[in-house]
Amino acid sequence: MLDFLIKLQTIDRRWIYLAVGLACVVPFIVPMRLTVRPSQETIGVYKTIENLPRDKAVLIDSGWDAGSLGENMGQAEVIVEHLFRRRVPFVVINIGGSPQGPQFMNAVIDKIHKRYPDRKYGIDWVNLGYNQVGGWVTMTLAAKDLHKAFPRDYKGTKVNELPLMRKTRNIDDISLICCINYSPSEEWIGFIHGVYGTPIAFACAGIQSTSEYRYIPSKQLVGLLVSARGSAEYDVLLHPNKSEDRTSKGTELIVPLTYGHLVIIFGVVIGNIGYLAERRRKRLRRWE
Amino acid sequence: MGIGGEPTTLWEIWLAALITLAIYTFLYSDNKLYRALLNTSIGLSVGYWFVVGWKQVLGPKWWDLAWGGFKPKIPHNAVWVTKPIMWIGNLFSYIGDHPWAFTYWLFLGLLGTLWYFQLSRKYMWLSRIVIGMTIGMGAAATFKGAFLLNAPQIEDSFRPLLATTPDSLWSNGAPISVGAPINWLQSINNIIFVGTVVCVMVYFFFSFSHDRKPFGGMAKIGRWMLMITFGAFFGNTIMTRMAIFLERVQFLVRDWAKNAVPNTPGIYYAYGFAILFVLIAIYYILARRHPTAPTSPDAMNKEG
Repeated sequence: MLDFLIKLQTIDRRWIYLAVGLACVVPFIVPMRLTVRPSQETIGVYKTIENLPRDKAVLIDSGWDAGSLGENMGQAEVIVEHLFRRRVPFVVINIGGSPQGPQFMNAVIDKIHKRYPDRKYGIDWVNLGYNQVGGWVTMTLAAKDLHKAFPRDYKGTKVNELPLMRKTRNIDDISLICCINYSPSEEWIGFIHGVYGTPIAFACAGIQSTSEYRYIPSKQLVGLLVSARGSAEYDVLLHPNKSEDRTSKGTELIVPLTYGHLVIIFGVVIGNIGYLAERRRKRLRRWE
Repeated sequence: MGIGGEPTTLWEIWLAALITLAIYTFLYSDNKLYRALLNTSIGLSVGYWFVVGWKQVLGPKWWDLAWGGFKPKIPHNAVWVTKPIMWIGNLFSYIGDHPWAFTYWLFLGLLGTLWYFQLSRKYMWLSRIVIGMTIGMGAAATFKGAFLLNAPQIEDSFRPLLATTPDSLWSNGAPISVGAPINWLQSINNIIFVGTVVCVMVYFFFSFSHDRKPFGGMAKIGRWMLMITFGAFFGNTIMTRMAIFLERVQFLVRDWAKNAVPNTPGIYYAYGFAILFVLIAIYYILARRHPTAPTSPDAMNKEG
């Protein structure tokens, strides 16, 4: 028995991959639903957007691409849907993220726009594209003069020709900065929230979230969307009664994600059982 | 369905699916097919970065502004040999019209050029001027950023150990005063928080021995708290990796297997299976090496 338990810590990793693969594939083939309870950090972002004024724009710094599509796409979907629904205008920028960011964000906006066809580009939203000179330099410049930091939108149209941009010139015209990225830039907190006090929300990859949580109790962040979980929770807040309307990437991934996690937890537990069994054997040998 | 719900063509779905599967062959063992695709991916992304960098940054923000402004002044019917001369003429006429702008440009240009003196041993000292300026600016910005980022964190660490119910003014509960009821849940929360902060700080305080009575225990608790944090990091890392993997699984199950295959005419099935067969064959040829069996922790320790 002890030999069998000791062997548990040397299971070929490919069996674990297979188990994780099955746990992830089956929920896609056999549709299942799990109850998702929104966390405080997700509710923080939702409540902030729910109470935003309609005469000021939300600045979305979106620099994610295919590499973090599983996590950031759902976050972008729910935030854009909420802003479209409330008709709060938003300005999409990409400071130092992936150069593919604007295209991916456009794809998300196009998808959500089909549900809100009366929203118009240039009035309800604009996409100012990518600025390679990232970090605090562009952030500070954008806060002082957004037109100078982004003279044209991603299509090449001068920002003065866009109605939304004519009334959105600097940080005073921004009600919230929402940074959707694999690893959102903390310089938004230091250089913009610290100086101008503009509320900031982050939507980040799970791996980054552990170091971002600390900004919530200190009120430097109004909330945080963590990985696919964050978007699934936000989807519940957006559609509390109609589960069939929850179509974000996060909602699609949350069930297989849960089963995948269960397999990992199971793996950790049996690995530890093997470790404890080996310790016990060593102790028994010492007694002998 | 591609990103944003745009339908992709059949061959795109097949290509994406086969590349995805080929990349995941690494799960079985390292192989040349995986490495070839990895290098292709790196090459593609470098090329993409270059094109986007030119099209979205260098082009509109440098080239078009610096040189494009003179273009309209050159007549279309001018002989091509005379075009560069006219262009240079326009440049000098611009400098004559905007002497201060040119002086500004010249000053910054010369300053930037000083970087290149790093290539000369004799004149390397010139590059130190701009290096010094860059370090000074960077240090100032870092100090400002770090202060604005961390000062509210320090402020938030001062929490009352016996606190009242949190409100809009006191988000962690106010210190107890006469008549105000204690919120025990908030108080316990604050005690854990402040205790963790102090213990972790003691753990990283190396100026005195941790063997002394109160500090040894505190450092030990600090270490445990750090280990719990690292566990949280690890758990969240798994969530990230899993979400990335699931996005690919979703593509394979929903877009490739469900949509592409059943709606495909028979001839495409034949092509698809042929490609899959060739891919598997290539994989087995390239990855004949028997994968190394995982070693036990003891064996790894012996190997060092």
